[in-house]
Amino acid sequence: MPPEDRLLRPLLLLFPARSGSTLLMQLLGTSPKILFDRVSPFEYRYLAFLLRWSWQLADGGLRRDEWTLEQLLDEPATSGNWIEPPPFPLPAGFDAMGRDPMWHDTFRTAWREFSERARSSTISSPQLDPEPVWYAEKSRALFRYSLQDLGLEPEVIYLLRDPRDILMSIWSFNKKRGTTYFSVIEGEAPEKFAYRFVEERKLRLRMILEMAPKDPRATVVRYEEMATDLAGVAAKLSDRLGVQLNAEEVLANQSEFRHHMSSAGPEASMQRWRREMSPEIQKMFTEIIGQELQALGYPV
Amino acid sequence: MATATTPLIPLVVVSTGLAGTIRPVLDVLLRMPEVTTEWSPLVDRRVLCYLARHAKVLAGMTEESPTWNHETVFYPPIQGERGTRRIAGFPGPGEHVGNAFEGQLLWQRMLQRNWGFFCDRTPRGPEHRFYVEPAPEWLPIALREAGVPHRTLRIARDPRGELVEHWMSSGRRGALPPVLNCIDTLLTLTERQANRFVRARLAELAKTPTTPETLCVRYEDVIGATADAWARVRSWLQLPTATAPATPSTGHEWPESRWRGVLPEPAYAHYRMKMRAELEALGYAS
Repeated sequence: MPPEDRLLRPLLLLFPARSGSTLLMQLLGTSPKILFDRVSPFEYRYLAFLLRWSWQLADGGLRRDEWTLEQLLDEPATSGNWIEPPPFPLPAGFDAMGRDPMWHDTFRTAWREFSERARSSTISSPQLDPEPVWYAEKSRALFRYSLQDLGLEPEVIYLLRDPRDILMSIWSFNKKRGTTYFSVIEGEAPEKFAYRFVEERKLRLRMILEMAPKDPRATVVRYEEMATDLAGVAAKLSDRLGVQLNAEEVLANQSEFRHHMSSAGPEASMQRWRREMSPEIQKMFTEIIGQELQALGYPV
Repeated sequence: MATATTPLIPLVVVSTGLAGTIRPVLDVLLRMPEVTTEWSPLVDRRVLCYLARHAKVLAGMTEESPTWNHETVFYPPIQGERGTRRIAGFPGPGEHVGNAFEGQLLWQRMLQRNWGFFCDRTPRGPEHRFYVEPAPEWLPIALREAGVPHRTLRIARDPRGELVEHWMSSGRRGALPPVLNCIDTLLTLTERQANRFVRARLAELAKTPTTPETLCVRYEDVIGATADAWARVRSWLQLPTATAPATPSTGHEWPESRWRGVLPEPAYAHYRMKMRAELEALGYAS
């Protein structure tokens, strides 16, 4: 069993879609001390997977037609077959009984094992340090809270972008590909989607305004900073994480990520809402989240 | 983290899975003071089976699909919606999950650890050394691959008794005589039973050598010659001699004599013709 100090430290990127998470992962990927699979768009989520795998032991009892005791016993035990929480009432040993529930022990062990296995496989990857410190993942707040419950304090990067530009980017992305990603409902009026979007953003912006300043493990990175001064963001994060990030390397490789962009480039993607958003939707943003936008330094 | 104690040794009972086979056998085994379980007839908990299936999810990568991919991993389960709690293997290459480290795969290590955690956390008496659970054929294989020390008790049973019990317990109790009189149906059923698994399994059971890990016991001996079967199992588990329990009376017992009056002669002849050697090898009169 590896000692505690050999555990990879989780570095979670909390982000709304279309806010530059892939660019930030590219930047983090320039440090050999930060481990994650360098496969664009950097979304192989080992940590989320192992958490969800461990959570299976936290629930049980109800059988469903699709997941019965017979399926548990009769289907071959392979990684390709689905499983759900136990189709029987949990035994006492799985429960808390005045201490941590069993899934906590399970996840801690799985994370230790993952840390050692990931370290051992970096030995064959010359671009990675044989002793990486961090494990970075695009994540969600729920996974962070779960890690905190486990006593694994993750470092968090809140990615912030003007939500009006995010909305324009979503529409542009979907138009370019003919898709309905990012919770867009086919046939829904743009104003209706915009209203749902703004309401959801309000909560996120309040979280960043109220929680991030008091959070010693959180850093806020603005998309607009990355677009105009990636070297400055690299310096700030390098200092924070104790690593060396290389903005020039990212900028030199931008052409490889052209397919992921919905505008001519990072600078063209800023203040896009002023040029492309209807006055009615602009007004909706001002009325619902104008206060939050101003507090975060975005003009209304 | 829980304090480490000596893990219980799994005592895996592999049988055909019929309640009528499992209940009397478990009834006898659970009268041993050294044996504990989470299984009961009413709450059919299969903790060890679940932990093994759960660990096997880590056994390798899974092809990404519309319902299981790196995007769906990211969306957490929704409270009350069990379908969203469903997972399969790591969607994608999964290099750090599937590779071996210090000679062990992640699933093997996690099954060992989870079994240890469960044993640490489960209230038990100081005398408890074995944890018994009815299980399918794949469980002892998974335990062996994972390096979890265990014992496998294989239960042989006369397929004729099994057939009649299965026929009666599947909601056809009242309809038994006319159905059994329908010889064509019965022969089809016996043929299917014989071809699918019974003959091969009986042949395998007849050849099963007794080893420190495996013992083959006849169901009919457990319910009909309980004292002898009890002594054999205890000796195999290296447990001291203890007073044998009374013959089980769970209401599910099907001694050899019970099916004789029910199974019609053509079906009986069918078995005799198809698997005489296997039946005789296990001591069943053909």
